[in-house]
Amino acid sequence: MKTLIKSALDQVHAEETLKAKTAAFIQAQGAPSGNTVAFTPKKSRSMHKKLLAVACALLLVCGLGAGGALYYQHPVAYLSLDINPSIELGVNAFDRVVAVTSYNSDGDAVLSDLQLYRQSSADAVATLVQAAAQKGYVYSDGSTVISLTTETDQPALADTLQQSAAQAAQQSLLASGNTAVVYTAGVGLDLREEARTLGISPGKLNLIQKLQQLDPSIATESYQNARVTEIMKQIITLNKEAKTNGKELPGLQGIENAIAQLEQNAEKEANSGTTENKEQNQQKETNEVAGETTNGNGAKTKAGSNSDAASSSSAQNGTGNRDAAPAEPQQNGGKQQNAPANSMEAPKDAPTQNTDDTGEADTAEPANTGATSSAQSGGGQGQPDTAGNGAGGQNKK
Amino acid sequence: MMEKTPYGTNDVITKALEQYADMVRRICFMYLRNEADVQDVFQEVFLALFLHGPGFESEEHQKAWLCRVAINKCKDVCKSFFRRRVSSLDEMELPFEDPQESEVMAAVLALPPQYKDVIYLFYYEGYTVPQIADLLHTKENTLYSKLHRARALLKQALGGSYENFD
Repeated sequence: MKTLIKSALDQVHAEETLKAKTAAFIQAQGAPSGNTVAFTPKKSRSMHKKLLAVACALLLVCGLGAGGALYYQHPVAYLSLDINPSIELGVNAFDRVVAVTSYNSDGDAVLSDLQLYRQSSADAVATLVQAAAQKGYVYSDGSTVISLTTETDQPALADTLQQSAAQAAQQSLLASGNTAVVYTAGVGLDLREEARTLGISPGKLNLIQKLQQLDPSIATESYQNARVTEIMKQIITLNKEAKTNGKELPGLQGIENAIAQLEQNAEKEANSGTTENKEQNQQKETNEVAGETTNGNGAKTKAGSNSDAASSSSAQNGTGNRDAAPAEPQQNGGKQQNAPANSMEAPKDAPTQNTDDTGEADTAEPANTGATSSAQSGGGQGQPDTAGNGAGGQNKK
Repeated sequence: MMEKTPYGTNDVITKALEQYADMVRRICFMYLRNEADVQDVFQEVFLALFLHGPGFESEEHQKAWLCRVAINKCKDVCKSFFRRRVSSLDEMELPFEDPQESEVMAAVLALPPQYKDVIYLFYYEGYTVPQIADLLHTKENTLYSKLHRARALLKQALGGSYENFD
């Protein structure tokens, strides 16, 4: 046995190549100083420790990744776009659209072949407005209100979102050659919850609630599928009635401005020839309208372009604003002041834009001044309601 | 300074390579069935010697040291995670002509790793049990039991055809 093992193992020799390789390897490892080398042998850690380290690293990476993904997917604000199609965009902290909800069948139709995910909120709004226009939800006569309602509890975020969204909507309208009034408003997240339970888009519910404040007998359902334009008109109509009783609803400047703008558009439409280049027409018409002092709607100013939306939304609670005035031609004694200002500005402006001059002219009106300023200071029950460059916004700050 | 030699390393390593390469290779042969592992261990053993430098009391000391390092490194490889779970592709064939040798060696190589060192040191290198105990830093009695069990396993494997186990 012993001899067998010995003889067998005697046949095992180290190959010359192995020796040579080893020698080369050691030479490669060793410093020239021979045996006192500064070579530190690699410490072999036990497999368990390595596994543990790898597992920890994996866990960390997964955790970070999952956390990041969750954070990215989490909407910090919502933007409700209502024409009649009601669509709500969830916007994350990076201003990217991470959720899209349609609140009615028109909304489904608009969304049908759109990819909004990961677009910036402004891009998404532009895309939506364009799609809605293509599908005929934005009437060519300019008699459409596009309502952009932000839903967040962070006022600063609401401001920036409203501004960028309104701007995007305007540009999209301009680019596609359509006319519409852009109206912005901001609501809190509590209203969003309420709207979701009712299945109505928060933007629309916001308007319907105003309607209900004016006429408590109105059922939410009856306006569920109405166009925003209709609801707004109804609000103004009711508000006029209420005003005669001295009970008009505060904080409606935005809507008034929007409606005024609508009337303006309608007028343009009526005046303009059908064949002419639309934009030219509109510009002309703008001039004409501006020139008509009797009309002097301070609210010629389109609602949407308000850089003031934000600030006025902070003033949103204002009870003030008895002034349906800007929307109402009859009242304008002093509106004549507006006219010149407008007529000067209008040609330069894109059809959908407005100048603050008109607003300021408005505020110069004695009747209005008190009202608008009270809009800012007063704490009313109204929803944050900021119309474009609504009168409230234009109040001198 | 490093003295250039046929292998290009210093003389300690060169000499050790000449003298003990076969021994280290045999120990590797006892434990490892994979060419790449053999090469790794072989190099690591001599690298260890290189890093250890001179300072052995005697030739015997150096030989014993190399034995121990080689056995430890082989065992490390054997118990490493991948080796235990991944079967090697290129198993080396037994190089023995004599069928008896092949049979015995097959049985020896089939022993669990913890018996191989005793078998090798006892049967091949001819160390006595106290010497092995010194070399492996183990108790003599442990070695006697190991040797006993290893023999029993061999006997079982070889079907009692080799009675002389001394």
